[in-house]
Amino acid sequence: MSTKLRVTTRYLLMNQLKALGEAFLAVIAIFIIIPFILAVVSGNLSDFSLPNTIANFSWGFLIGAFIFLYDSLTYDNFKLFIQNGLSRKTFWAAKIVTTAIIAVIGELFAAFYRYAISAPIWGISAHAALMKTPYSLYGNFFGSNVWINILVSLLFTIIFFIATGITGMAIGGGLALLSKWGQRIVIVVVPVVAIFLIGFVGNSSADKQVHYDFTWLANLLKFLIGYPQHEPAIAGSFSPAVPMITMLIGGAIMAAIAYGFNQLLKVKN
Amino acid sequence: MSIQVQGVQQSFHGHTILEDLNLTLEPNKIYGLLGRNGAGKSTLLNIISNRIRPTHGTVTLDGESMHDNDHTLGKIYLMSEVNMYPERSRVKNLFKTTRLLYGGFNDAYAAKLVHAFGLDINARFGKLSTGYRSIFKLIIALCVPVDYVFLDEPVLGLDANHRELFYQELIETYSDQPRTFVISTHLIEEIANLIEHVFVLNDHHIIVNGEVPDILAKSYTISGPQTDVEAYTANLNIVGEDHLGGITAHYVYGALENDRPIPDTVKVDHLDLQKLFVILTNTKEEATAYVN
Repeated sequence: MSTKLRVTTRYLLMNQLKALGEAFLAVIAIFIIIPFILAVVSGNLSDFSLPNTIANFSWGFLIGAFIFLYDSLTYDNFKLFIQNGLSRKTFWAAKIVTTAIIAVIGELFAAFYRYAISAPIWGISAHAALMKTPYSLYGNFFGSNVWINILVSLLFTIIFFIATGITGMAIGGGLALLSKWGQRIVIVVVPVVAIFLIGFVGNSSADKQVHYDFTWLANLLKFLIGYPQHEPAIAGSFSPAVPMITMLIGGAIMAAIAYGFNQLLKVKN
Repeated sequence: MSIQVQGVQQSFHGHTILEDLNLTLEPNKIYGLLGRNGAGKSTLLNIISNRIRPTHGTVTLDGESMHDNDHTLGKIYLMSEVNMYPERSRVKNLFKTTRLLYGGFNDAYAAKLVHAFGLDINARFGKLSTGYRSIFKLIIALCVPVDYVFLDEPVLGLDANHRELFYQELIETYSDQPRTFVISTHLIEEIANLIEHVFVLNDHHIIVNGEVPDILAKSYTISGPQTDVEAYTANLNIVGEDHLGGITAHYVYGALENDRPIPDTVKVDHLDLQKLFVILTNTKEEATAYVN
């Protein structure tokens, strides 16, 4: 790693960890302190359970959303780095490295919290705690050895966070090329078109008068999420291999797109 | 060791800003980059510092491309009107960030300048006035360990005292540690005595590129009665003229013919840099308006 890449990564990592800490504090304030104050004010303090509130924190969602949003912020960091004699290439590489580090740190923290704090408070086993996560689809794939399943779930989630962050980089890089007016249009139009498309596909599949065949799409989605080919499709028996490989390939494609957008970045007047 | 700008062309939305621009920036020299509003000075500096990509052409430092190259970009600093720093960051933290990312920073000199200019290092960058933002950026420009410093409108918002202080510090730091400065400004009179070499950018091209003493040595005001002045300046390179009462002034850029006798009624003076700039960059309409 070159000196410039090291210092850029260090700068981004320090800032991101600081922002993540602030996000954690904000979540604690919103989900513990405010409900506590409301319970006190409304006289329903007996309904408020601090241990349950603490146990119910699902840090994974916060970390995923944080990585996506933080990585999509492009232009301000670009300005600072180009002002300080750093290339676009170094900025891009430092963001990738930072994303990977935050993904690992974040998932290790979330896993520690889930298995060492939440599970004991709920009074459930590590396996039961694993099956309360979105990874539950794959939770029994490696048989009865719960720690192997947990280990693979960590790897799965880290890859998911990295791919999510890199997708944020690609989207943020694209938006950074647009004017503020263009950014607003994209942010409004794209979700509307996406929702319309989903509705259209759903209605077309249900409507027997319309002969669009989306079976291939359903089969593709089944394949991508690791739908069992032979065994009965029950939660826990899905294969994590295909989605992990898909996320790795998707992440690589997004990284290439982000790199392309990054190369086009320029200072706006 | 020099920066070479070769064949640079820049167009925005079909409008040409710079056309086939070529220039060289030598080490340890103070340059002036002059041009009217919209001439493309900032665009040129942005291209050199890789903030924007030229439509055509290359910029190299010691033969190495400036594009997307940490090695060459780390040897230059561009202080510009555009605010490139996070608004919420405190000044003292931005000094630290600069030290981290540039790999060095003259802390002692920065402390001296902070004191001299009265900059509050605990203030957030976004809370600074226009003048103090310029001061903050100037302090960084003078304290970063680079070989080339580009100053685009360096005294924007500075009062006369602070401008004077900046020029003094510029001379002092240049004497102590020679490096290249390129100053782009409209306050030509204030930098005329500082700069060694001048580029004048006009109509997408560099129209003047030379050492300041050489350029001023061949810039003349020939004044006197109209007929005598016209007779003396016939066939010379007249770049402008003024008429006031019965007196006519012709501005000549180029060598005079030494064997041509100067009538007693005609006076020959040298132009200063600002007047030369105004004459050379006047549009035809403006030049006509001056002739009265």
